[in-house]
Amino acid sequence: MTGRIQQAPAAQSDQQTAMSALSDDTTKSNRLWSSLYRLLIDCIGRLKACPTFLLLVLCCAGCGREEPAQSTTCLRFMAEAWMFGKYPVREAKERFEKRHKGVTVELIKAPAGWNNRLLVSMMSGRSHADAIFCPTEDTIAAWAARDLLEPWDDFIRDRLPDGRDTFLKVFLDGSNLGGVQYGLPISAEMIAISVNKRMAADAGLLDANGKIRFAKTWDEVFEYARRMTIDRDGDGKPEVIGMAINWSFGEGVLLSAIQAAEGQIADGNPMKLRLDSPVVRKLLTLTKAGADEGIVTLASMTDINQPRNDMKAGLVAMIVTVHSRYLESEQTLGKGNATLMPMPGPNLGGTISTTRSVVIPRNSRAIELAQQFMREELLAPYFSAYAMEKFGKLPCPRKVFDKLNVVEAQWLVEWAGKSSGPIMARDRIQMADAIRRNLQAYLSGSVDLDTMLNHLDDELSNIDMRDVREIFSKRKAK
Amino acid sequence: MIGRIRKSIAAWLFSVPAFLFIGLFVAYPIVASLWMSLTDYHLLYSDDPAFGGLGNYRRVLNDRYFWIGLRNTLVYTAARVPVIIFLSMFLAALIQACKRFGRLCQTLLFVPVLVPEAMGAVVVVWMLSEKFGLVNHLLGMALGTTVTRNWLGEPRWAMAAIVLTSYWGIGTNIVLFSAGLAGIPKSLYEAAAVDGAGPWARFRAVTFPSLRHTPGVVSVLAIIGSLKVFALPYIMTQGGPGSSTMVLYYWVYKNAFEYYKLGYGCAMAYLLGLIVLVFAAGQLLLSRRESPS
Repeated sequence: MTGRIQQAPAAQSDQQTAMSALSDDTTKSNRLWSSLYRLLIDCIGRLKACPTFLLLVLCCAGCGREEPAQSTTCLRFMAEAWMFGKYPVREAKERFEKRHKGVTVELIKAPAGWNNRLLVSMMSGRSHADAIFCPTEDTIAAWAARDLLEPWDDFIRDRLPDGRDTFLKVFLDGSNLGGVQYGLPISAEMIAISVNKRMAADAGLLDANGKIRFAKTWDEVFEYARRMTIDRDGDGKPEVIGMAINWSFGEGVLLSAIQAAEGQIADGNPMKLRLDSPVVRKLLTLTKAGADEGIVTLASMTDINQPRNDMKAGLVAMIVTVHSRYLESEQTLGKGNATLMPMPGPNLGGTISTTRSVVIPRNSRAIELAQQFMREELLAPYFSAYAMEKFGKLPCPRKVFDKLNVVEAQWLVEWAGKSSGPIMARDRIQMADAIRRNLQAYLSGSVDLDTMLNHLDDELSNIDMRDVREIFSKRKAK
Repeated sequence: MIGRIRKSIAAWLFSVPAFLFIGLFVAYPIVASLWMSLTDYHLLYSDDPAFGGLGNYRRVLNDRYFWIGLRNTLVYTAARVPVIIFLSMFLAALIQACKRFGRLCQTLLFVPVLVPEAMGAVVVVWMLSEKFGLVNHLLGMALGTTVTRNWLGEPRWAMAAIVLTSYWGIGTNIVLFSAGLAGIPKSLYEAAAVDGAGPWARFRAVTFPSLRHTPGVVSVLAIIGSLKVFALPYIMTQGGPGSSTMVLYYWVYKNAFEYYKLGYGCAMAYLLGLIVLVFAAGQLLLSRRESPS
């Protein structure tokens, strides 16, 4: 009991000490907050009289535009990640650096979704690269529409001995908008038919020289597919299917078929596509019937890579897609076991092409170096010859073809002469989507052919199909 | 008095970062996109956004793909939401009943939530591949024949595949139901058992009525999530074959970021937002009306 009484003052004292400490802490804390608060108010008071501080903050936050001060020693070169494997980009860098002491070439891989990201970034005045080797015609048109690209015209006139003749015309024209050259094409892809040569030989489709006999009509192409289809156990489910057409890229396939049949894809401006034509009806009807028969697969409708994957795996004998897949297939089928066939029709081999070009952004920090790099390395025969011989990417500079040993390359040049560049309608991407959607609706059995063609016609009439080149011309005239 | 004013100023000052954040990343985009939806603005070919009134909204209502997208979105929602609710409730009840491995099962069912939905979609695309897919392979083994069904190439199967893949994230709902179940007093079950109620009767008479709020919350979340579906069709089918799996947000994305029609895309996004709001409000009202006062 006594202990308890004796302990009480001590406990009280502890409590008081604790209270006092707490009170001290609170006071300290209050003082701290109070001084912080005063500091804050003081700062704001000063800020009112100091607008330059605000300006400084904004600049630090990156709101200011970057000045494209020109560099003579550093070139930032951007390309898509896959290009580093298929084009000798690193070799080009080494050669350039060796030739020009003190100059460095910084290689940058383009980020995912680069076309929109770079568009927005360049629109806000930022500079990420001095030369970009990615864009197709669509992207060049989009960037040029916002006046984000440096024209190549002076370079072509003053620095290239052959001027515009340096390139195959069809490839160069794709990135010429309103008479201004916004991109220089390095390599091109065309729609063609890649064939497994061994399977073609087994089906008796090669001539005495071991070359594929070109099919002249779509009926013949589907007959080839029938002959190359292999059903070993006879259960009606073939182990090897005759043909896969890339219906994820339906616009390309269909327009190529029209170009091969009629030598022209569209009329007038706004452009009117020749979609309700006999060749379109024939190709689509045969495809649907072929799928029912089991000689054609439609898996590409939702998997853009299905034709190339199945060709490489030996599960499909023939694929209709971009031409370079034939050489890619040789990685697994063996060298010399794949070849090409042109799109059939009176204009045999006529097709559409898309290019990969080099562009220089307006806010590039090394325009001169970029042009020099282009002339000395990217247009040198070794650069695009490597991409052709290893990966089937068709070079755009003419002089490269003399050095190529691939027979298919000569065919491709001939077909390129009969080809058209991509349709350069203002809303081309929307047009391509509309074609793809409607084709797939027909091929998957949702609608009949006439309904599909009517729907497509309706949709295209609501899309801006004005030739984008004319829009640029008018702008320039203004 | 001055101290109080000072405190009040201090409070406002400390709230400034939050207001700035909300203003910059929530309020401004909402207002800016509303303004944009009233303009005819093409990112590439318009110099400045030109005021066009309700023109975009009128065009959206006449857009065939808007209605196709809406139909597909509603089909997806109708196929997904009830299953999500009942399956997750059932699994949560099962986990609770399972004394020994309940926790383990709950963890295993939650693990897929940690994996990004997009990654799950890529795996499912491989599994459904016509030639190399696991599904066709297993079916072939089971049926003793070669199966080469093109699951994602056929409209009805493509949508079914997307709906089935969406069950991937059911773990979150199981956790919500488990939390609801944990709040039910054991005495209720004991009383029901004394009255001779079997497992089904206990579920019907005790579990379900006691969980009244949880299905409401889960269904609102599931409906909003379903109406917002984008990643799965984008990765698995790109809206195809044809337009059979094109959902509304995919069409908004296409218009705004691929066709660069920002005004039109914003108008469509606002209409979609309105639809989500109506559904969510309806569901909330319904669950409030059902819940005891």
